[in-house]
Amino acid sequence: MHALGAREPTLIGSTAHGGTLKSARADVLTPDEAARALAARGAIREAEIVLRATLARDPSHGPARAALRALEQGQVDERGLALELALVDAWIREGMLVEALALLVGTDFGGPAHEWAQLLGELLAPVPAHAEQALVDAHAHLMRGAASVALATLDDRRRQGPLPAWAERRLALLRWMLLDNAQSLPEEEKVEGASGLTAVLQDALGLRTLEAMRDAAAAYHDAHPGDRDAAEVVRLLEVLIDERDAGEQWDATSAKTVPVFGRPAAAMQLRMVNLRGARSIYTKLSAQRPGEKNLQALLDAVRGVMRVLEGQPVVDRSFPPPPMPAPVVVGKSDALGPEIGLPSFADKTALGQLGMLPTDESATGGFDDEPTRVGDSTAAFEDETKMQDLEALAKASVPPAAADTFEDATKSIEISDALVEASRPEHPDPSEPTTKQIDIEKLEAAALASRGAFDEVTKPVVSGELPLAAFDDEVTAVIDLPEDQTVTDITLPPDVAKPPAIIETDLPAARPDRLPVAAPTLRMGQGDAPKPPSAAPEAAAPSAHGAPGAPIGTTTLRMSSEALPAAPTSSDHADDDSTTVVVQTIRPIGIADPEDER
Amino acid sequence: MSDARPPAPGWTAPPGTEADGRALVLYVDVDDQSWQDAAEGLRRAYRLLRADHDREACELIRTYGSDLVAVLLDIDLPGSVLDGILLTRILRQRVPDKALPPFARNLPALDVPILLVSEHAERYAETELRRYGGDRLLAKPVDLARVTLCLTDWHLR
Repeated sequence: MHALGAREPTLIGSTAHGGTLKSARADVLTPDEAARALAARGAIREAEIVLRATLARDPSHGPARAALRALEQGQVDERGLALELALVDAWIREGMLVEALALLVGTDFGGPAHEWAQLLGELLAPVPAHAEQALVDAHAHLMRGAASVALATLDDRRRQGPLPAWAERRLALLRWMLLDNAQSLPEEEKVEGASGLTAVLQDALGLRTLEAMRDAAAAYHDAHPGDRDAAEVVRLLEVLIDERDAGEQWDATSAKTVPVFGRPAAAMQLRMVNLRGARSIYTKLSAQRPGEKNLQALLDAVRGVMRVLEGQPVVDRSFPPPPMPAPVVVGKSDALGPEIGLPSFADKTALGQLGMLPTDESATGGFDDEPTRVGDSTAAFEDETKMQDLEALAKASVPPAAADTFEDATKSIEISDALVEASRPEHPDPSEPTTKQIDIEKLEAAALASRGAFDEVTKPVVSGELPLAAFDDEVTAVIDLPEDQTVTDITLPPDVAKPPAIIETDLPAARPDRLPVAAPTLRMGQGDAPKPPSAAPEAAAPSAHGAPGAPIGTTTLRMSSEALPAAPTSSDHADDDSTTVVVQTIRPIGIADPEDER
Repeated sequence: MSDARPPAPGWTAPPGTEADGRALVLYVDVDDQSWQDAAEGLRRAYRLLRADHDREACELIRTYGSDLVAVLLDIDLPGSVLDGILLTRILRQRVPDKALPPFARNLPALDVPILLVSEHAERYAETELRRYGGDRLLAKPVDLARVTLCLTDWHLR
């Protein structure tokens, strides 16, 4: 159709490297991402132009504004994303011609890219000084990304009289870029092996007029009167044709103001049978004006036609209504399924049981319409809300003691910790029985104190001060203790109370909740006054028994059977007069990385 | 259309281009090869007026100044009194007339992009040239896509 003939390169189907272009829409970078990639390649100027063009098209584009500000401040993102020629093609289809030109100039794609750059350079070149207003307007539309509007403007202007040669050429070039080029849809956008109504519509789509599509669908409907989709598509296409014609009337009534936004812009997309563009505009408009029924109808019409083009029915009937609890059964729901196209599970759904589905013959047009029609009633949702309220009531009716189960469990854990700490009194009295009445309050206080003690014992220590060699092998330590002697009566030399230092190794260390086994011959109950349990004994253990790697013999630790409630091994020997604590395989736990502690 | 302005009196289309109303660009360069490259590269979208020295450039600006959409100036302009940078400053009205040679006085102020071109573009900093009133720095040979992109950027700013 176009005078450009075979001179123009085709982006679809070939790249600089001879490969087939992937979908131009699937992995399109946003303009700010592409600009960052350009800047990373050193094409700062082109990156700025991409961003300015984006802002000219959409002044509220925050990422582009931020990226432009960063570029102007000299901040260049070094992470360069891959730029492909497919991006240029996608941008051209979207009417982002300035961005596409900047991308082509800023990169070296090779192949057809140079010719594309020349074509865009020609198309976007300034109009002559003193050119007529329509041509100036068309150029301005191109500058701000409204290529389809520019095309419509030039088309309208040509209907009024002959165009200058340069403008005529640009019109042909623009039409070729936006329409003819768009006819060669990417392979994956076409339905493989499409048949029936889809194939008919796809063939008619190549003619780029809604009327051709409508006529094709009508002819198909005549040949297949039972095809409900064909009749529905004809109706939807007529809705779109009416909207497009209304848009053209808006053009005529506003002689100098070319409509750019809103429904007129969508109508222009319909004129070019750019259903994707029209759907995008209608979607935005519907979101902005949720109460406007016409917009929703137009959006549904575009979606319906696009669904058929994709090989799907006009309306998605594949999903059932959402199941909901139904306390009341009204009507004969089991008779409805076949009539309204519902499968046999309809009677099991909440709507079926609630009697929300139409029950008479006249209402069983049913699912010829949008399936959302059956969801108008919110009673089921209200019931569900009521059930939640009941749950809240039930929870509130639980006695406080039971309701605080988790809190109690937390307390029990703290008490358990406190028991361990309480078993190691700061100033143990040998005459005091080891089994004593547990005071919960004291235990809680002890639990709190134990946190501090834990913090203390987990202070970092120097690896050289740790009995690291003791963990190299499995060690069994048995220490004999008098029956009236608690474990904490073990007295250590004063020089063991060294302050902890920084851990310099990741070798295993002693558990802070276990006493060091200083030496097999260590006598109990002798020496200086007992020291509070802290990290010091553990940290200084090596000095207590000589060199860090000194072997530890077997020591029997005797104590009252209740002395170590937390030690599982002691319970195994609860019947004995003395308890033998067998420490097996002291594993490297208990001292963590200070960073992890935080 | 009726309000389209005809070419200025005395205007002669550059050889090899048609007077079809394309945008008019003044290209000032003494180098013939550069001129041919530019004429070939830009003719798709622009009509080019050529001046090969400063005096001719000033005359063409007086005659066609209001028709121009851009001016391309070679920075060096060997054989001319005024180089491209000084011409840029004059066109931006940044030099008093009394400091200029007579042929450069009373030139109309141009509100169009001025692109400075050079065979050694790497020797110049574009930011410095902008201080003198230039808009872009282009390396020779000039290219349609690059020229249009520069002019587009000027429109977008």
